[in-house]
Amino acid sequence: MTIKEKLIILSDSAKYDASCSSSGSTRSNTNGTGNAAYSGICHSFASDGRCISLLKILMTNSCIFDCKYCINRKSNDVKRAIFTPVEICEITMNFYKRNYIEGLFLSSGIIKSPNYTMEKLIETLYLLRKKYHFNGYIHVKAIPGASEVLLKKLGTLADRVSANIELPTSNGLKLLAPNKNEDKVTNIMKTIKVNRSRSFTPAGQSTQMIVGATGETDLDILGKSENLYNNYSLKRVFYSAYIPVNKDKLLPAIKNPPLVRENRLYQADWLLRFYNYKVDDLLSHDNPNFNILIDPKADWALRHLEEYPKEINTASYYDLLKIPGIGPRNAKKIVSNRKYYKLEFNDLKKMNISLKRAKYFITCNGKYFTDTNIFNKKIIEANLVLEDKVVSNKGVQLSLFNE
Amino acid sequence: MNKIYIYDGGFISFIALVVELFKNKITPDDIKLINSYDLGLFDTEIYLKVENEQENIKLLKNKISREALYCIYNVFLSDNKNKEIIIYNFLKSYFKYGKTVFGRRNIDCVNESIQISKYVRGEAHKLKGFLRFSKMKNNFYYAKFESNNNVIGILASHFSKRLMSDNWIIHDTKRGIYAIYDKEKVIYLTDEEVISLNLEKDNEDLIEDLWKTFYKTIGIKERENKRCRQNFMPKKYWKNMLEVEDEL
Ligand code: SF4
Repeated sequence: MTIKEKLIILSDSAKYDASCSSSGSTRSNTNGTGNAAYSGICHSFASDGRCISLLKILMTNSCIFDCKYCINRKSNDVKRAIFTPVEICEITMNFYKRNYIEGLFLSSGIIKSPNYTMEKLIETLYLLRKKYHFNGYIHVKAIPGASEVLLKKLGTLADRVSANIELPTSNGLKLLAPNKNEDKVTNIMKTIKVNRSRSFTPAGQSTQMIVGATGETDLDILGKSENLYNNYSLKRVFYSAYIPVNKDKLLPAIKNPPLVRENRLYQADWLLRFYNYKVDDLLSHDNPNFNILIDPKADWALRHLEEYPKEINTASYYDLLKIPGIGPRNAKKIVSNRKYYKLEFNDLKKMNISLKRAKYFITCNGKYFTDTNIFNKKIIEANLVLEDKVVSNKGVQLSLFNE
Repeated sequence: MNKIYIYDGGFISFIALVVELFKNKITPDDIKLINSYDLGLFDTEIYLKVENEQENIKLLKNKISREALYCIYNVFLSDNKNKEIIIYNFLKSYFKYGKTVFGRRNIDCVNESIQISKYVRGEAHKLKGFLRFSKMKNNFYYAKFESNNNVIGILASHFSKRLMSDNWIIHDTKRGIYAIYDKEKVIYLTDEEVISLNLEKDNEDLIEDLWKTFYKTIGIKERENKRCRQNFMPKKYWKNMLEVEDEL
């Protein structure tokens, strides 16, 4: 099999992993090749609009397990391939020196045993770091069920180690991935949390959940995320809209991946990490799923309209963050400027703060942007939904960075 | 008459002139790079002599914060036609308000400076990712790019850390400037000075084909969103990016 054929197979089967980030590490270059950029760098964007920063591949797509949702499961009749450690190093170095990539994202199906697979991953990273003197970013997937000793070795070689929790409840996991169990994954998370340092997974850990493969609600999913953030200091939880690659009577037969739902979860996840919201603020047992028509923050605001409009010149930083359309960056701009002069709508515009959504929820110097008659739940809601439609027609809707 | 003060080189000579203007309490109507603009009917050019450029630079460095220096340097790299007078006015506000200018965006030159600085850094950050090197027969890695702002210095400093153990050349095709790194230091040459460089591509077919293959494979068909891609990766950069140049 040629290198090219292998690359096709092993990147094709790695592409469903949503993680793309290359940030959070400050590894520097000591007489070799590469360093990490703390804020991460995107080197290209794929036809699906996702950032390409790492060479995302599997070491092998062979697997002794049979997870229902996974394209690499044992019972699938697909072409199998395996990269040798040297092949992985050669491609990584050659890509890196041409500035195609920021580093390597290495994952793998499980061959022989979890420990054997881990050893192979370690061998690869060791070669890359020590023989090829590669100091760029490495994100590696730990193999659930492998020994702690091996995990600790792996962590000293990588910038980020992660293990995918895949599904928010152990019932879901039991159903679709009978040989993975939650404990195996959380054990990995524990070890990484306890050992993390400048020389051990400096960029921390992340995980991923599949959205829409089982009957779980957004509350289940986001509740799980909150729990993981709190207990294991995760950097990121990624959400991956379920794409049916296998036919199985246990799996839902859907045509299109639930991308809007995935986007809502990312938006809500952002609210948990940077906006001081709790899952309980956003969802409840009576209302366990996000509104597909409107983003979680605006939805919250509309349900608490009595707290608005907020006065830009006096609202606290955290209150500013509750204004739809205002994120941490804009809130900081407002706070640092209003010390010196009273802000009007025009001042906000000048600072490049978009008022498209915010204007319904604020006053500037006591003034509302238009007739206060429209300060009414139904009218605002209708306007926001309309604007979202315009935005999504422009194709920017799936950006995760819309404040 | 409009009094236009002329400087004749890069950032250093510009800053030295600006400091000289402040020292002598001169208010310029404009400041321009020599031979870079059309003289108007009511314009008069003034060449102010600066005795000791380095001393002026030192003076400024002691007076303003790193953040402010970073900001005006970025503005100077921009393609903004009025950048010199914006910087002059920014400094004037800085001398009045100190570090608090960054919270006074109701002052136009301050607001503009902050925005332009962000725009320059934004473009440089994109290019740190979008630059594509190919291996040359003379063992240098070579990348060419085209940008709105003059970011070659930012890129060269990024790559002199990242690719410190290789020889490379970064080429700004629009401005005709080369940054050349020989594992020790970066030197800058212009188009005319560089004709002796033998820039012939090595056989890159295999690696380039692998990269294009990876690029095609990694996109998920069920999620195709080319508009979103273009928002993040504007078309103007594509002609120097081998994985998308065919799609232009
Ligand atoms: S263990 Fe991993 S690679 Fe193997 S079938 Fe399960 S999800 Fe797929």
